[in-house]
Amino acid sequence: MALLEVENLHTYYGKIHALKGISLSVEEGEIVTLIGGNGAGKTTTLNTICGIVRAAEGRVLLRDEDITLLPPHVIMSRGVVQSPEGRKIFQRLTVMENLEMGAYSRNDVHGIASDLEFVFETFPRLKERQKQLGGTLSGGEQQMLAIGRALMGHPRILLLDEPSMGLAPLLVRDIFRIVKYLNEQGTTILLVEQNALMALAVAHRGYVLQTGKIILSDEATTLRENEMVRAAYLGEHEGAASLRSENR
Amino acid sequence: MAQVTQTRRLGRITLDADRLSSQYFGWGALIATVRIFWVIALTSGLFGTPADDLYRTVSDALGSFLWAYAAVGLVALLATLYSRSRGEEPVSSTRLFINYLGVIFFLALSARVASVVQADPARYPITLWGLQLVNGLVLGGVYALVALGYTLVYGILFMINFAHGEVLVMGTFGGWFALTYVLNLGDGTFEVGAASVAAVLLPLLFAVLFLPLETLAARAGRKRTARAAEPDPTWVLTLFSLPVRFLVGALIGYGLLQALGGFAPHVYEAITTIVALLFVVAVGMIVSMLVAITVERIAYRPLRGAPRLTPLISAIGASFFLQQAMLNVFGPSKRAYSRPKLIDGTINVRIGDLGTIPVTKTGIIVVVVSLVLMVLLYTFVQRSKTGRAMRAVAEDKPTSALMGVDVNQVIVITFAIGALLAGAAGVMMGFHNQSFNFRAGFIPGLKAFTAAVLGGIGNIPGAMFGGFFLGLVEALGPTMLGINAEYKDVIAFSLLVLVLVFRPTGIFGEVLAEKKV
Ligand SMILES: Nc1ncnc2c1ncn2[C@@H]1O[C@H](COP(=O)(O)OP(=O)(O)O)[C@@H](O)[C@H]1O
Ligand SMILES: [Mg+2]
Repeated sequence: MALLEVENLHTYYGKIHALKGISLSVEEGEIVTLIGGNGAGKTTTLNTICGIVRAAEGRVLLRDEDITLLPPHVIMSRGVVQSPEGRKIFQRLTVMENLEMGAYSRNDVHGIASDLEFVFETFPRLKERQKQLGGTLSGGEQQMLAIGRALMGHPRILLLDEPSMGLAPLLVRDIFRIVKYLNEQGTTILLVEQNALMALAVAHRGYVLQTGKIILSDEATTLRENEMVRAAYLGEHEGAASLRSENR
Repeated sequence: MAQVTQTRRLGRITLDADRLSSQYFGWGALIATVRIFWVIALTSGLFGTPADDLYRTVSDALGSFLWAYAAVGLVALLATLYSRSRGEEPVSSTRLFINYLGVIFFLALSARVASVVQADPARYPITLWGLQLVNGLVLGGVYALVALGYTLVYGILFMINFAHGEVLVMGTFGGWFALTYVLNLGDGTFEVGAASVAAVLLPLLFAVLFLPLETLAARAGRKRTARAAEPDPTWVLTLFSLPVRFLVGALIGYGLLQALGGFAPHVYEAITTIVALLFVVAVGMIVSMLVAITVERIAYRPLRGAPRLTPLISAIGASFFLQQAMLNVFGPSKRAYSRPKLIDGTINVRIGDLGTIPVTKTGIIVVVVSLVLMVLLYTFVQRSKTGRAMRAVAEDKPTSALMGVDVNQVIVITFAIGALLAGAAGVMMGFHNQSFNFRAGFIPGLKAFTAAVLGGIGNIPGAMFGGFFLGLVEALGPTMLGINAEYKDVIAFSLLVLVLVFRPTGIFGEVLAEKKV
């Protein structure tokens, strides 16, 4: 049985039918990526899993336990932790306070201390800046803080929403390297990305999302060879490249 | 090419004129304020009677300087307007006008104060100013405590809790019922009733302190986190020891109290009175808190996500409802808040050999307690885990929820804290004014709201500052302007209008202005 199982999820924003029956699963220890263009419904999928948006139909199972309609803070305390799109750092809290917010639902002092140590080892920059306000960090540092903050919740599964968005190419590399490292350290990850090339390079499996539906799912290596994916997301042809930039 | 340089230069000049004009206003206001206090010090005898010529000269020089300052400003204003009228692009000069008018206002104010106090210095001795200063601080303490409730709620929900004034007076009612209870226990004598109340509460306190609190807290903490709590053999023993410890603690507390009554009856009476007073305040605070939580649950929470005007209207409705409910249940008549001996009367404070000021004991209590509560609140918001969550929720609710914060719970806690402060203020207000009725919260509530806006609503230090500032202006204003004290409300609300014109975001409001709101 998979760690996270999403079955036939439907979500609406008023009359807009944003998710039209999403099913996916993540096994323990995997990196699974969810790729798709702008407005495909990737963020909506994560937010429905986390309970920020209510599912109209379908189920979300965490190790066979139905968590679909639980309030977001309860879902988080069960170990489903999201690092949201656009980082969403608390600008007026210090770096340290942001990290402490990540551990809000926990009381195990020793566990928190060892996770903090791990975060500071992984992101030494955060340790240097721990007294600085979140809003004064650079984009790359904010992304590190967003991931570090999520790690402070000791996730059973970590949901990352476009961690590479808006970062310089060198930083994008760093972020994906870190995603891979975290997975090697034992974290299960569901990675949402528009940067399909990089995402498929680190992931084990992938799902392709288009206008609220999963149109493809396979091993990451197979998806990278898939004609449709190459055309639409990997920018092999000129036409595909321009299509992508239109989507932005 | 030349065209571009031209407009750019013009742009820079425009910017400089605006900034200069704000600085012009700032300095003008500061110098006028210095002049006001200088003249007051001079006429009230603080600089000696008769004062040295030097002090007089400074006073006159400050006055003349302000006139010259205003004249120079007028010339600069006209010159800027002229040069702007010849520029190609139209530039708004409203800011310049407002700043200039601000300086004129301060000039007129200082001139009025000077003429009033110099006309008849004998009527303005330092003891009068001292007394008004104390009155201002007392009012300010109450305003600041209540203003914090407005500001805390606004910071999190961006709504103004218009029912907060009623929450305040509900606290006054709660305290009044507790006070009446203590009085009835003592057949009309507070001290006698206080002894009975303390004889229960103090041993209870000792009993609780004798429990193994750390073990209990640790156990409660573990229960919440551990998925499968392993059985703990020592726990059974702890469980059996609880009643024994409790009884021993209670007996020791009771014994100590009785011994104190035998050996030091005065200390005994003071301590029992303080315990009973704390009981009265606590009841008031809890009543306020319960009312605020109920209002939030019924009138605000169902409207979360509605347009911003909707909860505001609901708040006004809640305010009317509470006011009318109190009127119908408790009646319109004034109720007396009788003071126990310990806090009745005044303390005479000497100012050198210039005289003494009679300061009421309740006034001192209001100022001290409000300052202590404010320090506690600030520490709580800055240092505690819940305070951190409050700041996070104020900034971004969905992300806070993703961090595992129960956003609704934090909102309730925020309402509760604001109401606890208001309840404390309500009871202290009762003891200080010695009477109240259902309407007693309306004006203070409105004033505290004004204070919160003055300091920059949503800003905690701003509310504290705004409260004391408004209290001082209200107490000192009518005296300074030489008008009847009944104009104090007019002055307070005029001040609100002035601040909204000159600094719409309030005095400390810069952070808020940058926020999306
Ligand atoms: N808060 C919202 N209100 C209304 N429509 C929304 C909202 N958020 C997203 N949508 C719509 O739902 C669809 C999916 O959006 P989203 O999940 O953000 O896509 P992605 O993350 O893949 O870019 C889009 O058509 C978007 O316009
Ligand atoms: Mg998205």
